[in-house]
Amino acid sequence: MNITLVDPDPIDVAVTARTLAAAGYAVSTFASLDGMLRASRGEPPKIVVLELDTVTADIVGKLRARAGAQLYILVLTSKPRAATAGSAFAAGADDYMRKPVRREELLARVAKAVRMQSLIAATCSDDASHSPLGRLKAWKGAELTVCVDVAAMTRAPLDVQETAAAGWTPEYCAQTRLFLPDQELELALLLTTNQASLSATARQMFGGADDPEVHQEVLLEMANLAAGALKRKALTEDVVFTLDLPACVPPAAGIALLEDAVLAKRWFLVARDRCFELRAAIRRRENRVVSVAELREGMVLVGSVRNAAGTLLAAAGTRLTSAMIDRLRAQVSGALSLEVARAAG
Amino acid sequence: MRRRVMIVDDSLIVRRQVQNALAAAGFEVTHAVDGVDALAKVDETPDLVLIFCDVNMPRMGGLELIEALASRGSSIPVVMLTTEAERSLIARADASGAKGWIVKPFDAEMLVETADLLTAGSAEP
Repeated sequence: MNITLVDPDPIDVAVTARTLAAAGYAVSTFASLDGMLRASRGEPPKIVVLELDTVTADIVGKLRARAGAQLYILVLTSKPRAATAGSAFAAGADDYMRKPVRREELLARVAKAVRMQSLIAATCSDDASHSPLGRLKAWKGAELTVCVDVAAMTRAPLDVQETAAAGWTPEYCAQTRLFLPDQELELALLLTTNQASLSATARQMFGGADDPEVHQEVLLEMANLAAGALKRKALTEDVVFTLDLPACVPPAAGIALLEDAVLAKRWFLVARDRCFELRAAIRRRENRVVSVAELREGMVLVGSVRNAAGTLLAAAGTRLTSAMIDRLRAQVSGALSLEVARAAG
Repeated sequence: MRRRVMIVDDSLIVRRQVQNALAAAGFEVTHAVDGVDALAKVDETPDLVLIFCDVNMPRMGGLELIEALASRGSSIPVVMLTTEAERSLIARADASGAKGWIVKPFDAEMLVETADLLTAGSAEP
């Protein structure tokens, strides 16, 4: 697969190109984004490694407008300020790494990009619908994104597989949701695993003796990371999800939650001594109308809430916390009716 | 004197990861489990020089916390540490004075670099 490098530094681009070429990739190099866009009018690139100090949505949007939504963008930067990684992902980049580039890391990240693009090629439909459901269906490569994030957290390489390891029995389950409140849709996410996998992961992360107290917490944070990765994968200007907090539930109860799903995906994150099953499913979820007095933590606002003077108190899509509910009750009438995307309790 | 940093996150795992990364670099780390807990501990911790803070938490989230700190006139820098990468949330944090936004899973080296950068001028670890 061809890798397109865009970097104004002639030395850096030569070194990076040589590293990739030595690993067997075809490489095209450009000193500027405009030069690359001019040269690639006939055949848009699939993977672009882009050197940027400041990543803006304009730049990423320009690239995607010309090369298509399936373009994989790996941002390189020599100014790794704390905000940079966040702004790169927020702007739509698929991956991010800092200069100086370490050979092994570069090759691993490019290999990930190639795997993801291969998967996209294998599963891509032409349904480029921008409807929320269409966008959710277009999770192409989402399992790899989740896998990479979870593996980075747990410090263990994981493979994505369609089937479980031999003898797999789920014993623990964490559940979380991504809400699309204005569409009355939710993406329910379940992460199940067994005791042996949790023990191995906890030891890998923190070393020393096995500590059962952290097992459930490991699973919850893995579910949280998986939800964040899926959200980034499906995030657009028009489709913004609200993340719920993860919670542990019995595996049977979690799986029952998905029975009325309109679309479900299932895959396994597997290493030699551990297995995690991830199920993601889209469900229709009817909103409720409640009074301010009936608001509860965890409900998601469908519309914005303003006080009598028109000041914004809470934006649409906000997941309510107890502190926020106290503030709303202090500033608007308790009888005011609000549409929310989650039942109480 | 060792520089004191607070991690605000409802996940024990993240608090442990941050503790391990920053303690190894010579920082003292105070833990808080959500925004309500953090506000109380900020008042009790006058030597605090930096806060790392999750966004989605029970009781009080990270964006509410940073807004509450700003309304109190706090000058402690806050860096968001979250799985979120939604532009509107980042803009809201920026508007409230957040100094950075790190997307989980985080890199320990980057965390220490950020802490060093934002606490330069405070006592050395």
